[in-house]
Amino acid sequence: MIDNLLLGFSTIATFPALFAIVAGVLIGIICGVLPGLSASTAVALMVPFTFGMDPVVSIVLLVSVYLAGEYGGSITAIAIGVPGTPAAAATMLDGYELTKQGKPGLALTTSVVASSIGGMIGAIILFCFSEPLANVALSFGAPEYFALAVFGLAIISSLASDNLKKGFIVMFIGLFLKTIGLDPFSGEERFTFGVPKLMDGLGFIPALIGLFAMASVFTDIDKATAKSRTIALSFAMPKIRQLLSMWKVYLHSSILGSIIGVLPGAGATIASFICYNEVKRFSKKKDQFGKGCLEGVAAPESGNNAVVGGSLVPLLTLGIPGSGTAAVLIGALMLHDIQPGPLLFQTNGNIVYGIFAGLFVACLAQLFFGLIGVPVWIKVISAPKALLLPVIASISVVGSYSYNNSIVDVWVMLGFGLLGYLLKKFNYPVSPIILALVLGGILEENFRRSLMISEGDFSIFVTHPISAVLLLFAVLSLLSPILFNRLAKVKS
Amino acid sequence: MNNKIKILHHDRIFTLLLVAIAVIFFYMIGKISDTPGIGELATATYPRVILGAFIFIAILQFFFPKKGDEKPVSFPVKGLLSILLIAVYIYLLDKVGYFLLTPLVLFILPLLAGYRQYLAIAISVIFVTAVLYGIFKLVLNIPLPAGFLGA
Amino acid sequence: MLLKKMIAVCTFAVSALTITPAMAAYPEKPITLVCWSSPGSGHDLMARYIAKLGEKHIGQPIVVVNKKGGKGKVAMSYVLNQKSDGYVIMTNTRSMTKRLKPTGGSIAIDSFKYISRVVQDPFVIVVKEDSPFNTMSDLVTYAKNNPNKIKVGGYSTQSVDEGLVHDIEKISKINLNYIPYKGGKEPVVAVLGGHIDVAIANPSEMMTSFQAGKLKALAVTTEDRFSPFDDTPTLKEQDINNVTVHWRGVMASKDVPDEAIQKLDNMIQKVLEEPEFKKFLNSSNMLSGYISNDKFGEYVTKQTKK
Repeated sequence: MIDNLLLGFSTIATFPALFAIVAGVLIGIICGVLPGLSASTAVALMVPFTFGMDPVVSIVLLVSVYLAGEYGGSITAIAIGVPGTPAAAATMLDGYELTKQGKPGLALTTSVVASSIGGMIGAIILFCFSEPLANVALSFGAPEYFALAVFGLAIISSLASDNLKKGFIVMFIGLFLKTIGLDPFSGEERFTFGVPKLMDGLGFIPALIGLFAMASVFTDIDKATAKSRTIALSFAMPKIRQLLSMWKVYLHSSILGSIIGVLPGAGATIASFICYNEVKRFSKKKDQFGKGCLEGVAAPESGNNAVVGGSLVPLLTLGIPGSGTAAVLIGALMLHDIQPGPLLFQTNGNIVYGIFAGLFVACLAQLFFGLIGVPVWIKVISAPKALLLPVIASISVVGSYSYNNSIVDVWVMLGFGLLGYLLKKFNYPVSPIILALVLGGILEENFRRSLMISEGDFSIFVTHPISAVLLLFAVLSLLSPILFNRLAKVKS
Repeated sequence: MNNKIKILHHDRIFTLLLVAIAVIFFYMIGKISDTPGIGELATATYPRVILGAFIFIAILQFFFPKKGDEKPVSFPVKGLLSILLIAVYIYLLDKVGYFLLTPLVLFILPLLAGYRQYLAIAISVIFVTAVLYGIFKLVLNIPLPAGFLGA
Repeated sequence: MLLKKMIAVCTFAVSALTITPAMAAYPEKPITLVCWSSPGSGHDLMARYIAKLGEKHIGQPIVVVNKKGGKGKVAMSYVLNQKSDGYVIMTNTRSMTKRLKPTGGSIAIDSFKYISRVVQDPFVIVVKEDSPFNTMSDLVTYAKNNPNKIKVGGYSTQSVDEGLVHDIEKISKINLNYIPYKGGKEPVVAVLGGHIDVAIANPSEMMTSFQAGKLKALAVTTEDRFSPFDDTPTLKEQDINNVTVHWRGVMASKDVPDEAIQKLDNMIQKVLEEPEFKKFLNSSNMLSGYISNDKFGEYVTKQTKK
């Protein structure tokens, strides 16, 4: 084991590899910050650059971009309430609250520390447990994925606990919008209005940009008056003791995040929300979540960076991508004549262990550049809001366009902008739509696939043990806020 | 009493609007095939269930809104204007080109927000356009709508 | 670089004297190769290799642009809406043309000229290592006694995968339970996890698990056996008279002049001979499947009628 570790670190201890890590982290942070350039887009954009590189250097570069991209999204989520990546929508819940209270430094620092620790724990888990975790990936069939989706959606009852009806209305809007496009089973079109682009469904990234970035522009302009001032922001940083006291949050979320990362198709967004919810469930200060709680920033960030290590488990051991980004990584590996799969550890050990080591070093680089960046970001958002808004608007447009080189996506973005604006105006929570859009496809597809496998027998969902347990958890987490409310009322 | 009904108005109108849209879509599902395969659900079944549940909860919300939902909502003149502006921006994007239109939007939006420091706006227009051009065109080499200036 | 360009210019100047004057200069500006799938996919890689290696053969840079959506419809309508001068061409696949009508409507088989078929991607029918099935006849016998009980996973509906399963059902007079998946690798994962019985997969999707001994191959769907599946018989050898391969190629709008098509076809033929392209095919487990433009169109039309 130590031999392998040494092999890994010696593989990347070359100038080009270290340079690639630093460059990758910087590119990843920039792409993460820009809404529209999610981690997977960033990695895909970098692939052509790696054509002529040494395989180790190129793969280490891509992994660094992936890792830092997941982190970068949280910066804008905290600073201006616009998640740069889908997963950062969970970080925004508490992070942006802190900025509104004039304390962005606390949230930004916590986020980079939690991310880097999450990434490292993810790398360690990848190194130590890749074999057993690979079996977890295989044990998930259609009914299990369906149950996972239900479990994820049940989080809405705690996300929107102060107005459940509105939370569920928003969730159903999201689930419905997800049905637009080709039916995965019959191939029939649903609500496409004859637009070929819509056959693939509404783009998720344009939806995200619209709901948060564009909608916030509309809302703020609506509220703005000539006299409106920006909030005075302090440069205060969290105390080291404060950061250390959250070690349980980091550990809990990182482990959860890497396991979710292992499951193909689940990914960082689901991990972020589930980690947020779980840490909230076990926290002593439940009522502070959503009002600017540092734990609410640390949990999703540790979670979504631990996903990176987790998603590399099925990639390296089985040749199955654990996330959309990992799918692009497989393409990049194959370009270099490396076949990810069960034999990779024997045929290309240096690359496998180089990735572990690279991931670890990338976390350190991310921590370094992230911390340097914090005062810079605070400076940027201290600019007058009236000047920031048009910047957000133009980046939203270019971000949704570059997602697929299509103007249809830009219109979809504007549509979601209008929706997000109206929802905010009428006091509806917005984040349930993100969860519904991420999980809706998994939900329907695997529900129907399960029934095809069982020939229409609904018992398949409870006879499979993993599915039964997840569904039970879903019911519990759905009911718990309601029960807690009742209990609190009885007490008072 | 009279006052209370008035306050509840806006939230209820929005809920009704949502229900109306949902009913239209529900009607549209009728055109989608309803014949399932072996052990399979028909294409129309899932959206029908989702919309049904949606309409049910929206009606609940209409009749039993939570306290606090009755907050009145002002008519959003500036909000709608900014939406219109962005719509025109997107419409012209393919025809005029991103790097010609964007400075214009960067200039108009702050004015709409009530900001009047022209020098600061001008500096931000130049700076932001330059940075966006640098990142998208020079570093990442992502094709953007070029408009009549050509590719 | 400059020298290369000058040579290219000279070559075209010479050819200008021999070929019709109108098309003599083609190509005099960069060519756009539209790819219908997302960056990083196998299809996209093929396009990028053609672009990279083709430049020196055609004398102009080739730029890959991704237009994703509607199972290729977005890319097709984009290409048909451009000037038919041969500067905008696109990649195609069997699953894309399979969904088109032969003629009529805004997009049909006859809206395009088929430049060349580039690669072919055969199918392998796989089961888990501990499956009771060892040959196709084991599977057929079991299916005859247990109709609809064998769960066969493949990529998507109305796809080549599903077509292959239906062909096998028809030929062997059995009924299988076809279960569509969103990606090509998902059915293989489902077989490995024991969730379904059989998977239809391209070699690239099952190769590593097969080499690690976790999968058994029941049959390959080509005319003859191919490496590294030398011990796996073809469907034909097992009395199922069927040959099904997936392919990827390049096409252009039907109004593009034949001279341009011919030049592009020649370029692709040369690209296929490049060692770097051969290495790419090898590493992504695809076979060369070159068919020249004069036969490719006929081939596509015949396949669609079936």
